[in-house]
Amino acid sequence: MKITNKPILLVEDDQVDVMTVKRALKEIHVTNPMVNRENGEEALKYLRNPQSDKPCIILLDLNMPIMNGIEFLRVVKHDAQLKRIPVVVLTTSEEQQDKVNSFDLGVAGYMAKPVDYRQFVEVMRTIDAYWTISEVPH
Amino acid sequence: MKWSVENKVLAGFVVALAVIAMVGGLAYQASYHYIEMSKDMVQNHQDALVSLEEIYSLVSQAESSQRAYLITSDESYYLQQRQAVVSRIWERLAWLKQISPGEPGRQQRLQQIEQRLAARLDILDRVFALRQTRGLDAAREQLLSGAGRAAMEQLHDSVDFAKNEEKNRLKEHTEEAQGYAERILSTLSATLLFVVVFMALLFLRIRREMGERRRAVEALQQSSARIDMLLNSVAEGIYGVDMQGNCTFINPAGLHLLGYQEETELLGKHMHDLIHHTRANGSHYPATECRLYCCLQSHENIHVDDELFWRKDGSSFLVDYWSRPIESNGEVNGAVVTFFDITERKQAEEQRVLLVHELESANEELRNFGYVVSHDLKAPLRAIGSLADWISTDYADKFDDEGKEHMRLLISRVRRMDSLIDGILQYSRVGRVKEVAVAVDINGLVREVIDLLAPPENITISIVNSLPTITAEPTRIQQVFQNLLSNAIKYMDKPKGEIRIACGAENGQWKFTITDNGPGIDQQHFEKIFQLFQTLAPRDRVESTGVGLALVKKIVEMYGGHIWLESTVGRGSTFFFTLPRTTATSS
Repeated sequence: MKITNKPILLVEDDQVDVMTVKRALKEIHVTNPMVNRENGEEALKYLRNPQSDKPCIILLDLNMPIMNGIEFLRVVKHDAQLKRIPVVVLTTSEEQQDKVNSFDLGVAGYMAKPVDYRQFVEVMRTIDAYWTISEVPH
Repeated sequence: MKWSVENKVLAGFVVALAVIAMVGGLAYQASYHYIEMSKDMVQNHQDALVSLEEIYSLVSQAESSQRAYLITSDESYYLQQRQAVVSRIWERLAWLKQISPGEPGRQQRLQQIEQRLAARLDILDRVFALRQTRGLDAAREQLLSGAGRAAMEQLHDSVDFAKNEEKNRLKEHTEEAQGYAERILSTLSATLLFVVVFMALLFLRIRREMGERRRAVEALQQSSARIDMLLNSVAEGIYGVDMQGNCTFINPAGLHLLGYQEETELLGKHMHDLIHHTRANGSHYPATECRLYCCLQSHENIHVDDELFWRKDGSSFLVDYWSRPIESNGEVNGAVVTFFDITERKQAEEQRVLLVHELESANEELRNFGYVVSHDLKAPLRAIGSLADWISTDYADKFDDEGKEHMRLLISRVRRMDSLIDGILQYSRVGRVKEVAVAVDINGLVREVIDLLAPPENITISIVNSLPTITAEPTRIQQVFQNLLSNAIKYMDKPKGEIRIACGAENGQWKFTITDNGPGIDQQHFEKIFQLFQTLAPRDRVESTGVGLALVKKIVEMYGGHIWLESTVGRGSTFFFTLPRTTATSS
């Protein structure tokens, strides 16, 4: 990541998936702190809390209880304070409709979670590489 | 003004009668005139002839009387007779003149006769005077001189001439009258001929009219019989109402549906009050609100299928009815109502709606099932995969070879489970997720698929003839070729593999063939291979989900095509499938 002091917000309810992301990030030596929230609503609370650090990137699952990823995106992308934070969707869904909805809501990327952990590490490596090169507004 | 046939015929008869009356009148008048004229004329001429004869003979008589007097000197008889005869002569002459006012010729001749008569009588007088003054001898001498005879001859000539003239005139007049009569006769004949022709034409016209009328009556009878037959044979109830809503007729089916026996039970009755008095919810249905009654007033066609009709026994049935106004001479004078009992139909409809609804929800559940199950299965699977990977990495030094092998198998089964779930997802997506159908060039598409599959060098894939362009969802068509070709590649058992793709038009469809020289398939498996999750090779040898052919079949059949195969074990297989030539769109 270009900015190393800002946290990465992971919106994900599956504990093993959280572990997977953490492990993969560690494996590729990403040092940013990681904040995990279990659903969209919790994530919004975090983002709107003035005490919390604004994340440099949001990794978002779509299938979640209470407030799913698409609903979360709808809120975030209509919030002037939050809409410029890049959101990368990390999901199991390969549904065309989910992809269309996500891109309509201005996501920065859409990654399918591979079942194979090695492949997953590669996905995370690519995301890191991209956001190391890409400029982001402050 | 347009004349009706009756008026025309009547006018024809009036004209004919008028002509006949006119002709008759004229003929009568002419004949009467002719007869009268002829009678007068002939009488006149005959009178003239007779009078002339008489005058001449009277002169002779006067002569002889005088002669007798001359000889006898008998004054009392012969002289008186002579005087009487002379006065009679003048009298006749005066009469003749009197009956001849319009005859200038005759007047002239009479004048001559008068002169000669006077001359003759003068001679007679002179002889008579001589006899009285100088005696018989002097008179005889005078007679002998022949003056009297000469005058008499002159008179005779005049009278003769006059008589001839009279005869000629008589003849002339007769001829003239005959000519007149002939003209009248010919006019009469011509007119009668005209009347005969006119009457004949009139007769023909009437006959034709009667023929037409007879045919019209026959046609009317036939059509009336047909209408009766129709009314009697249709299953729908049909009745007619006048403008007040009273029954004018009802057919047997109508009677039956309403539970009546005889038409007379309903004729003249107010139909609304009898069969339409209560609404489906049990409330009173006033005639003023009745849709049948309203359409009668507004001259509209209506169709109603949500009301009740009531039978004679007080039961009711759901009815479907139409009402149409009856027009006669441009004026609406009632309506015809067609109806039938739709109780069963309504029930069937309700059942159908229920069934369709059930089916739809079952279908919807199924669709969601595939999707949800796949997603929800994947998350724990991924967790198992990740955890197994970490264990085998983090505790690599703690595992012996057998433990490592078990971990490898565990991870490979996770991958297989993952591809099975992907297969279900793919399979359930066909028909659920719609893409826009576009023109797809199969030539290009097949080449892309071959590139994607990257067949090993010992396998050649050839396109035998040019493949068509069809309208379809590109992804689906790609899936068809990709699965069929990847199967052919995956199972190839020959050192030199050959796969050929061809296409031809057949019965308005495209028929594609994909032929390989692989292991072939036993005929007993032909059906099984198209079923979901069915594979013929053990999964450990050939990694396969058993979704591919099921997916291909689903796609082909969705486009209205068929898929089948021919195969010889050891020699190879040919897969056939058809797609419609016309715009192929998924239903």
